[in-house]
Amino acid sequence: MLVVEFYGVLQQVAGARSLKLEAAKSSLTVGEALDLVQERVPGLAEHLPRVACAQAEQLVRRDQPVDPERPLVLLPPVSGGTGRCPCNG
Amino acid sequence: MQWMTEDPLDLDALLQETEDDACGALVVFAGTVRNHHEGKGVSGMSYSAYKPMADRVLKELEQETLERFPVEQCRIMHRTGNLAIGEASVLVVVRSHHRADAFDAARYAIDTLKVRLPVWKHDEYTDGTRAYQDGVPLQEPGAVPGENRDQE
Repeated sequence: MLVVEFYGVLQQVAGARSLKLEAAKSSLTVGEALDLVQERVPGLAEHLPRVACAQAEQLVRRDQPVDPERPLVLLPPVSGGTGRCPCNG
Repeated sequence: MQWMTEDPLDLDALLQETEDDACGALVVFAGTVRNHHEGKGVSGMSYSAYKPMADRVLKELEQETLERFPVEQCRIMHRTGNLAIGEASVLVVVRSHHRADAFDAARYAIDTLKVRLPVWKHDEYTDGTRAYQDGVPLQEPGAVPGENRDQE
């Protein structure tokens, strides 16, 4: 079982802070885990292509294997503003 | 040492923490909550973060700034939680021997933070609606901050 955690707008769309995935196979890549997330929460489909993923507080690529012992953290685009934007500089 | 906090940011504490008699330049950048976004009135903003990673990103960014520029001091703090209009959400404090280096380093620190820090803004609009601001995909260390500046 893999725990997937949501942040930012993903929490709002999923209606939850996390979900538990029962994977059909023992080893998953990050990309395969995201496919399972999309099956469970179709509303996330438009967000997942721009999501960054992290495990153990480090970003992970989609072709990397998932460690099932640690939550897979999904991080939507960060709303950092811009040098031209008066909000937060 | 603190990087992410739910408490109001304390500029005086950061100034005291970075005091350095060898420095003739002090640059402070403060990001504050504005009262509008994309044409809509904003009444407040809520910041959320993936805190364990955010703390690490800010700690590493301080060190990276110190290594990349000839500056003596760099401290960065970011706030989470509900903020009112005008409140500071981020502070960058840089001290160096001369002003040009402090300006350059502070600019680098805030621009890089904007693409690496896992923080999200949830606007509260004056019409009663709320929405997360869209942004840029999170980037790993090594990303050039200027690459995203024109995309937002």
